[in-house]
Amino acid sequence: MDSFRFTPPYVEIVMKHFPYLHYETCPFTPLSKELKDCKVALVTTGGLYVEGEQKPYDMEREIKDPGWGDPTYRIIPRNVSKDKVKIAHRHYNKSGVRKDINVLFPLDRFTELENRGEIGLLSQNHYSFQGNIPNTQDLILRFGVEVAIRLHIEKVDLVFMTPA
Amino acid sequence: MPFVLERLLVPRAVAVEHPFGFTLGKPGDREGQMQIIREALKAVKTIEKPGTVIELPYRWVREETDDPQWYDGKYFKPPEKIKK
Repeated sequence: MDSFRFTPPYVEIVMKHFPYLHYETCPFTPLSKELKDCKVALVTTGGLYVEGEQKPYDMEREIKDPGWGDPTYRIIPRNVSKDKVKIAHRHYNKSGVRKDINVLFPLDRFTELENRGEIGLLSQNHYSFQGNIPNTQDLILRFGVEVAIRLHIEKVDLVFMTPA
Repeated sequence: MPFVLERLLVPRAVAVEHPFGFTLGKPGDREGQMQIIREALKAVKTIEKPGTVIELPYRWVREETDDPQWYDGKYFKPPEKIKK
Protein backbone atom coordinates (compact mmCIF):
# COMPACT_ATOMS: atom_id res chain seq x y z
CA MET A 1 0.00 0.00 0.00
CA ASP A 2 1.27 3.45 -0.91
CA SER A 3 0.52 5.86 1.95
CA PHE A 4 1.06 8.82 -0.36
CA ARG A 5 -0.71 7.56 -3.48
CA PHE A 6 -3.16 10.45 -3.61
CA THR A 7 -1.42 13.15 -1.60
CA PRO A 8 0.17 16.15 -3.27
CA PRO A 9 4.00 16.19 -3.10
CA TYR A 10 4.23 18.81 -0.33
CA VAL A 11 2.20 16.61 2.03
CA GLU A 12 4.50 13.66 1.40
CA ILE A 13 7.56 15.81 2.12
CA VAL A 14 6.08 17.18 5.35
CA MET A 15 4.95 13.79 6.61
CA LYS A 16 8.22 12.08 5.74
CA HIS A 17 10.24 14.70 7.60
CA PHE A 18 7.97 15.26 10.58
CA PRO A 19 9.82 14.67 13.88
CA TYR A 20 7.58 11.84 15.11
CA LEU A 21 7.89 10.91 18.76
CA HIS A 22 9.63 7.61 19.20
CA TYR A 23 8.05 5.01 21.44
CA GLU A 24 9.78 1.84 22.61
CA THR A 25 6.57 0.21 23.75
CA CYS A 26 2.93 0.33 22.77
CA PRO A 27 -0.04 0.11 25.12
CA PHE A 28 -2.26 -2.84 24.38
CA THR A 29 -5.40 -3.90 26.18
CA PRO A 30 -7.00 -7.11 24.94
CA LEU A 31 -10.73 -6.76 24.52
CA SER A 32 -12.29 -8.66 27.39
CA LYS A 33 -15.87 -8.62 26.08
CA GLU A 34 -17.70 -9.60 22.95
CA LEU A 35 -18.33 -6.74 20.54
CA LYS A 36 -22.06 -7.14 21.08
CA ASP A 37 -21.51 -6.21 24.73
CA CYS A 38 -19.14 -3.27 24.15
CA LYS A 39 -19.85 0.42 24.54
CA VAL A 40 -18.26 2.23 21.59
CA ALA A 41 -17.21 5.85 21.02
CA LEU A 42 -15.83 7.66 17.98
CA VAL A 43 -12.74 9.85 18.05
CA THR A 44 -11.52 11.77 15.03
CA THR A 45 -8.94 14.39 14.20
CA GLY A 46 -11.20 15.83 11.51
CA GLY A 47 -11.64 19.24 13.17
CA LEU A 48 -15.36 18.84 13.86
CA TYR A 49 -17.26 21.22 16.15
CA VAL A 50 -20.89 22.05 16.83
CA GLU A 51 -21.79 25.41 15.35
CA GLY A 52 -23.45 27.85 17.74
CA GLU A 53 -22.45 25.82 20.79
CA GLN A 54 -18.71 25.42 20.47
CA LYS A 55 -15.87 27.57 19.21
CA PRO A 56 -14.11 26.47 16.04
CA TYR A 57 -10.49 25.40 16.44
CA ASP A 58 -8.16 28.39 16.36
CA MET A 59 -7.22 28.72 12.71
CA GLU A 60 -6.19 32.37 13.00
CA ARG A 61 -3.38 31.55 15.39
CA GLU A 62 -2.34 28.59 13.24
CA ILE A 63 -2.02 30.87 10.22
CA LYS A 64 0.07 33.37 12.21
CA ASP A 65 2.21 30.64 13.76
CA PRO A 66 2.56 27.62 11.45
CA GLY A 67 4.51 25.75 14.13
CA TRP A 68 1.41 25.72 16.30
CA GLY A 69 -1.86 23.82 15.94
CA ASP A 70 -4.92 23.92 18.19
CA PRO A 71 -4.62 20.88 20.51
CA THR A 72 -8.08 21.22 22.11
CA TYR A 73 -11.04 18.91 21.56
CA ARG A 74 -14.79 19.13 21.16
CA ILE A 75 -17.48 16.77 22.42
CA ILE A 76 -19.82 15.74 19.63
CA PRO A 77 -23.06 14.27 21.07
CA ARG A 78 -24.49 11.29 19.22
CA ASN A 79 -27.82 13.03 18.70
CA VAL A 80 -26.24 16.17 17.25
CA SER A 81 -28.02 17.73 14.32
CA LYS A 82 -25.70 16.91 11.39
CA ASP A 83 -26.17 20.30 9.78
CA LYS A 84 -24.70 21.93 12.87
CA VAL A 85 -21.47 19.94 12.67
CA LYS A 86 -18.87 22.13 10.97
CA ILE A 87 -15.19 21.66 10.25
CA ALA A 88 -12.21 23.85 11.16
CA HIS A 89 -9.13 22.16 9.71
CA ARG A 90 -6.91 23.56 6.96
CA HIS A 91 -5.15 20.43 5.79
CA TYR A 92 -7.53 17.99 4.16
CA ASN A 93 -10.26 17.99 1.56
CA LYS A 94 -13.46 18.47 3.52
CA SER A 95 -15.94 18.25 0.64
CA GLY A 96 -16.63 14.54 1.23
CA VAL A 97 -17.27 14.91 4.95
CA ARG A 98 -19.48 17.93 4.34
CA LYS A 99 -21.62 15.86 2.02
CA ASP A 100 -21.68 12.77 4.26
CA ILE A 101 -20.19 12.94 7.73
CA ASN A 102 -20.02 9.13 7.82
CA VAL A 103 -17.01 9.26 5.51
CA LEU A 104 -14.96 10.26 8.54
CA PHE A 105 -17.24 10.23 11.57
CA PRO A 106 -19.65 7.33 11.04
CA LEU A 107 -22.31 8.06 13.64
CA ASP A 108 -25.07 6.69 11.39
CA ARG A 109 -23.18 3.48 10.61
CA PHE A 110 -22.50 2.81 14.30
CA THR A 111 -26.12 3.56 15.16
CA GLU A 112 -27.04 0.87 12.64
CA LEU A 113 -24.57 -1.55 14.24
CA GLU A 114 -26.12 -0.78 17.62
CA ASN A 115 -29.63 -1.35 16.27
CA ARG A 116 -28.54 -4.68 14.79
CA GLY A 117 -26.93 -5.74 18.06
CA GLU A 118 -23.46 -6.00 16.52
CA ILE A 119 -22.14 -3.61 19.17
CA GLY A 120 -23.59 -3.19 22.63
CA LEU A 121 -24.10 0.53 22.92
CA LEU A 122 -23.05 3.63 21.03
CA SER A 123 -21.84 6.16 23.59
CA GLN A 124 -23.61 9.46 24.14
CA ASN A 125 -20.42 11.47 23.69
CA HIS A 126 -17.89 11.36 20.86
CA TYR A 127 -14.76 13.44 20.43
CA SER A 128 -13.01 15.47 17.79
CA PHE A 129 -9.59 17.06 17.63
CA GLN A 130 -8.18 18.81 14.59
CA GLY A 131 -5.23 16.88 13.27
CA ASN A 132 -2.66 19.56 12.55
CA ILE A 133 -0.78 19.75 15.84
CA PRO A 134 2.94 20.13 15.08
CA ASN A 135 3.80 20.69 18.74
CA THR A 136 2.16 17.79 20.56
CA GLN A 137 3.05 18.63 24.15
CA ASP A 138 -0.34 20.05 25.21
CA LEU A 139 -2.14 17.27 23.36
CA ILE A 140 -0.17 14.54 25.09
CA LEU A 141 0.01 16.06 28.56
CA ARG A 142 -3.43 17.61 28.80
CA PHE A 143 -6.11 17.33 26.16
CA GLY A 144 -5.48 13.77 25.08
CA VAL A 145 -5.42 12.71 28.73
CA GLU A 146 -8.69 14.56 29.38
CA VAL A 147 -10.43 12.70 26.58
CA ALA A 148 -9.02 9.38 27.81
CA ILE A 149 -10.35 10.13 31.31
CA ARG A 150 -13.75 11.10 29.92
CA LEU A 151 -13.93 7.87 27.93
CA HIS A 152 -12.97 5.93 31.05
CA ILE A 153 -15.62 7.67 33.18
CA GLU A 154 -18.19 7.03 30.43
CA LYS A 155 -17.25 3.32 30.60
CA VAL A 156 -16.37 3.13 26.93
CA ASP A 157 -14.85 -0.24 25.99
CA LEU A 158 -13.80 0.49 22.47
CA VAL A 159 -12.86 3.57 20.45
CA PHE A 160 -13.04 3.84 16.67
CA MET A 161 -10.51 6.47 15.61
CA THR A 162 -10.28 8.16 12.22
CA PRO A 163 -7.44 10.46 11.18
CA ALA A 164 -7.52 13.69 9.20
CA MET B 1 -1.50 5.88 6.49
CA PRO B 2 0.74 2.89 7.24
CA PHE B 3 3.79 5.20 6.96
CA VAL B 4 2.64 7.20 10.00
CA LEU B 5 1.10 4.29 11.91
CA GLU B 6 4.35 2.34 11.80
CA ARG B 7 6.26 5.26 13.27
CA LEU B 8 3.80 5.98 16.07
CA LEU B 9 3.14 2.42 17.23
CA VAL B 10 -0.64 2.50 17.35
CA PRO B 11 -2.01 -0.52 19.27
CA ARG B 12 -4.26 -1.70 16.43
CA ALA B 13 -4.98 -0.24 13.04
CA VAL B 14 -6.50 -1.02 9.70
CA ALA B 15 -5.42 1.04 6.70
CA VAL B 16 -7.14 1.81 3.43
CA GLU B 17 -5.57 3.39 0.37
CA HIS B 18 -8.07 6.22 0.13
CA PRO B 19 -7.50 9.94 -0.34
CA PHE B 20 -6.99 11.84 2.91
CA GLY B 21 -10.38 12.98 4.23
CA PHE B 22 -12.19 10.04 2.60
CA THR B 23 -11.20 7.47 5.20
CA LEU B 24 -14.28 5.29 4.83
CA GLY B 25 -14.72 5.89 1.11
CA LYS B 26 -17.14 7.94 -0.91
CA PRO B 27 -20.03 10.00 0.46
CA GLY B 28 -23.28 8.05 0.40
CA ASP B 29 -21.58 4.66 0.01
CA ARG B 30 -23.22 3.09 3.03
CA GLU B 31 -22.16 -0.46 2.21
CA GLY B 32 -18.54 0.52 1.56
CA GLN B 33 -18.37 2.45 4.81
CA MET B 34 -19.86 -0.46 6.72
CA GLN B 35 -17.41 -2.96 5.18
CA ILE B 36 -14.40 -0.99 6.43
CA ILE B 37 -15.94 -0.48 9.87
CA ARG B 38 -16.65 -4.20 10.19
CA GLU B 39 -13.08 -5.03 9.17
CA ALA B 40 -11.81 -2.62 11.84
CA LEU B 41 -14.04 -4.16 14.50
CA LYS B 42 -12.91 -7.63 13.49
CA ALA B 43 -9.29 -6.49 13.84
CA VAL B 44 -9.88 -5.57 17.48
CA LYS B 45 -10.24 -9.28 18.12
CA THR B 46 -7.74 -10.69 15.62
CA ILE B 47 -4.77 -8.38 16.23
CA GLU B 48 -2.70 -9.82 19.05
CA LYS B 49 0.58 -7.96 18.60
CA PRO B 50 0.69 -4.25 19.54
CA GLY B 51 1.55 -2.03 16.59
CA THR B 52 -0.02 -4.31 13.99
CA VAL B 53 -1.40 -2.57 10.89
CA ILE B 54 -3.75 -4.54 8.67
CA GLU B 55 -3.84 -3.21 5.12
CA LEU B 56 -7.33 -3.62 3.70
CA PRO B 57 -7.76 -4.48 0.02
CA TYR B 58 -10.27 -1.74 -0.84
CA ARG B 59 -9.07 0.60 -3.56
CA TRP B 60 -10.27 4.06 -4.52
CA VAL B 61 -11.71 4.09 -8.02
CA ARG B 62 -12.20 7.43 -9.72
CA GLU B 63 -15.54 7.58 -11.51
CA GLU B 64 -17.16 10.07 -13.82
CA THR B 65 -19.99 10.60 -11.36
CA ASP B 66 -17.55 11.71 -8.62
CA ASP B 67 -17.78 15.32 -7.48
CA PRO B 68 -14.88 17.31 -9.04
CA GLN B 69 -14.40 19.02 -5.65
CA TRP B 70 -13.00 15.77 -4.27
CA TYR B 71 -10.02 16.15 -6.55
CA ASP B 72 -9.06 19.71 -5.62
CA GLY B 73 -5.37 20.02 -6.49
CA LYS B 74 -4.53 21.60 -3.15
CA TYR B 75 -5.18 18.26 -1.49
CA PHE B 76 -4.94 15.80 -4.36
CA LYS B 77 -2.00 14.66 -6.46
CA PRO B 78 -2.29 15.61 -10.16
CA PRO B 79 -4.07 12.66 -11.86
CA GLU B 80 -1.23 12.08 -14.34
CA LYS B 81 1.17 11.46 -11.43
CA ILE B 82 -0.96 8.85 -9.69
CA LYS B 83 0.39 5.34 -10.30
CA LYS B 84 -2.08 3.01 -11.95
